[in-house]
Amino acid sequence: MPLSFAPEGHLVRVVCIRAGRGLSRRLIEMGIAPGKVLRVVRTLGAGPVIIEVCGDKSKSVSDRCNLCCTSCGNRIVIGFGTAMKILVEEVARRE
Amino acid sequence: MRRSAPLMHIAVCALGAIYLIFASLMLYNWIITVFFPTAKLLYSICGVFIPPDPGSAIVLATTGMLLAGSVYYHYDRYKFISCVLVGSLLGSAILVLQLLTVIANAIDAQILMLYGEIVEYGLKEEIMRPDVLLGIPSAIVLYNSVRELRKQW
Amino acid sequence: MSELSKAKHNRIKIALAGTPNVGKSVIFNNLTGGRAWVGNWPGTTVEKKVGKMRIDRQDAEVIDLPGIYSLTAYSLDELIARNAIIEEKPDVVVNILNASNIERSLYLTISLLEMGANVVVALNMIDIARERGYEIDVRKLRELLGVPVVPTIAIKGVGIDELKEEIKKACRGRKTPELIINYGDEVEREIEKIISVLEKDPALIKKYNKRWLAIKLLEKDEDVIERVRKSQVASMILKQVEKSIKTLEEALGRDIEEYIAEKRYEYAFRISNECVKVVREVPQTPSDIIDFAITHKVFGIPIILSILYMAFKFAFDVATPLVDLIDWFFAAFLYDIVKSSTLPEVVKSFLADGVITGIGSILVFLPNIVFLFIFISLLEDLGYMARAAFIIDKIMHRWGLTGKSIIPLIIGIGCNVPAIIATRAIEDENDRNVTALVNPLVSCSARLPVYLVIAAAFFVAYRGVVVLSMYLLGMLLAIMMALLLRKCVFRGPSTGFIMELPPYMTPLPKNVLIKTWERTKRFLFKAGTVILLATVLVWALSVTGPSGYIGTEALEDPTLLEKSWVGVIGKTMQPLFYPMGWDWRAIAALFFGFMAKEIVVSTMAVLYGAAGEEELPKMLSMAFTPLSAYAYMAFVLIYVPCLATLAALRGELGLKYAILALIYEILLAYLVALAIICIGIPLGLK
Repeated sequence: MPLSFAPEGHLVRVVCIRAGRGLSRRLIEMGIAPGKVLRVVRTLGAGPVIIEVCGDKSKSVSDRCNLCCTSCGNRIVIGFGTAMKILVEEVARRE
Repeated sequence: MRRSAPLMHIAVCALGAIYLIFASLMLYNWIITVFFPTAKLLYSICGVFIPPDPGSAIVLATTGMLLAGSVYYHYDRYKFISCVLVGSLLGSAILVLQLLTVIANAIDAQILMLYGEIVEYGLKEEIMRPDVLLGIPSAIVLYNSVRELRKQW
Repeated sequence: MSELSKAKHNRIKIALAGTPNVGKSVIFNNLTGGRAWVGNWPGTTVEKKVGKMRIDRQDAEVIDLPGIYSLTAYSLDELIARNAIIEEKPDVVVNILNASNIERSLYLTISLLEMGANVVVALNMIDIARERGYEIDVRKLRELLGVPVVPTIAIKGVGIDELKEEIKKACRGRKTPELIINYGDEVEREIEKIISVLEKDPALIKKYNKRWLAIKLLEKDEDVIERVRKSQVASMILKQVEKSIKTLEEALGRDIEEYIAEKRYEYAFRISNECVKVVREVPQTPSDIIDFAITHKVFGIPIILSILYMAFKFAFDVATPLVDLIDWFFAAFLYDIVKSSTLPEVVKSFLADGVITGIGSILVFLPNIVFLFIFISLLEDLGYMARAAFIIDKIMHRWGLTGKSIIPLIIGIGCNVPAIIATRAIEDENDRNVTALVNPLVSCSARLPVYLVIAAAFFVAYRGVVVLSMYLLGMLLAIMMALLLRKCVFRGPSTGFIMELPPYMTPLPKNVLIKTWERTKRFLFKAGTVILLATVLVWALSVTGPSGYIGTEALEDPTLLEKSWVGVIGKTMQPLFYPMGWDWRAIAALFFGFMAKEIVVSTMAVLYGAAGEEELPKMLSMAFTPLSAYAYMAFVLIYVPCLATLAALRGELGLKYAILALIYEILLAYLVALAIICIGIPLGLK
């Protein structure tokens, strides 16, 4: 499912990024790489999203978020076009 | 605080509803004055105190929506406070702006005297506007919600 | 060589680098005591800025680079920053880190260290990190990075002296050990191979850090490839690089460029994990709480509209007394002094009708413009702009723009020139081009005088609404043109945008004022040069004609004025505008408005013989009908970007697109004005 359709408040894991060279690189630099877990902070319903990068593949999600992840609370706005190119899977429902 | 919470909800919601009512009256007055200026009968409900100002109507409506809408989120403290805070912020901002405008107009009248023009300006009309009158309770709500927020940090 | 020139030659250079919105400009202002724009939304600094500071009784040059996340050749901003570091070879690079988001900031630090730059780290916004519940072990960070680290809170001036001290030390003791990230055995082996080929060109090795060069080549960095191409052993190097990339991509089974970026990020992640410890859990910060309502699905757009309305109320209603004061000063006070003086008639007319009327009719809008800029600067520093970009993205996307386009579009309300330069922050080339091309349609402050004069003449009661309708018309046309351009010229999908959401901050009055001044300066400069010249030119062309000098009476006598050059120009073009029913004076004013749109007002003031701003509306109400006046406003809104805007377009997009903008705007203006007349007359409007 594209990140753009992910429901608000959910944790999702990045499966793959289907974007051109420059863009996927920029995403990686911002910490959004395949395997990373993101928290969907805000959506406008199939539009841009605000996310927080919450951890990575090597650690389990539940104890990472809110505990020791330094990028939590640092929010990133991702435009509609970009959000459609990031494919994610749902990890957990969380409020 | 727990006990006073529902009271706060009701007060905020009522304030929001009043905002919405005045916003629609303002819009109504505007439509009347723009499109049916000759129809005396229809003209203005309290035309003096509710100026036909569509811009102000937008701000009033937004404030009203936020204040009244906040009750929809009564189950979540943060969401509730967020709406109340932003709503009362808008309400207070337009109050401040209107007061600035009043001061500006007063000074302006003095300056126009340099030309020898005597300008009549109605201080009463400028101040007895819904955005000013409603701004006062709004400012109180703002003060309270900021204090509420401060408690946490 | 004398001592002085030697000192000049060896002047110390300090560059400031950091991610967008990290407070670089604030630190720049603190270090130099100088002026740079400071904004709380990503992408304020679009060009590098230079200031001065003193180190050991020596002048040092401080370069403020645009905010970047890394040093790729991906976006223009990054390229500008990187080239500044490569070409200027600054003695010290002050890397400003966002303490509340250290891992993302460290990515840039690592890239800088890999380049072999002499880095001093300023760990900014430690207060916000604390607010979010974590502490940073500065000593540990210093150890891991191997460079000096100074914690700062720039907006409060905390840590700035220590930072200066570290910069001084770093200037004296050049060279920090370069950081080496292990990219894994396979990659390291290939890097070694590339380095061994690179070593065959000593010139190249001398100029750049060889390991950095090798890594960048593996990353397929176009700019670096271009640089290597100039070497004599270029073909050998590139062949080796190609071979290495192929081997690696086969071995790793993925894109090497992404692999390297990810490794680097992982390294940053490890460092941040080691030196950040969470002191307490903070469920939600005040910023997050406020954001709930601000970025709300339903409330978001009404909030934007409300804020826009307040901006205009602030800029127009509150600024009125200042407007009247300035108007009185020029139109009554100075004008009368000159007119009642004993100077010769020609000089008197030149000064009063040309210079004073011209400058006065422009300066009268200075308060409006200053107040509007104050409001916009406040919103920027508060951090609202990034939220607006998010809210608006969904709509903008539909029209072929991105949320990031909102920033240039809003700056455009002030002036299109900086707005067009600000489009550089948009990564996608098509998005950038479209945003820049439609930007002249956004009604800049220069057009405001025209609306205000006409609105004062015909739409007194609804002045605000009529003026606002022009702004909305501009936005609407911009959106439609964007869609059209997207469909016809710049095809292909938009890549969208990514942007950090900064926490809300209380704006500092000093920063707001500095920024407002920077922006107003441009307007004042224009008023003093181009507009002054133009009004004088209009005056000269009005008192002379094909038959020679007519005399200053022409300004008061319409029949005489028709015989002047201005009359000739206006009359020749009049048939073109026959359907709109504008008289030749209005058309002549349009002609001069090409230099800068403010001139339309001052030209009209001269041509209609109005003594100042107050009188012009009265004169206009005789020459126009409300409908033709409205069409005229729309025409002024759209027709041709001013000279400065055209120059900016040419600079950013090239001559071809500047001409495209010119042509489409003239056609569009004519069509819209015609449409207003054609729709208005059957509706019974006059």
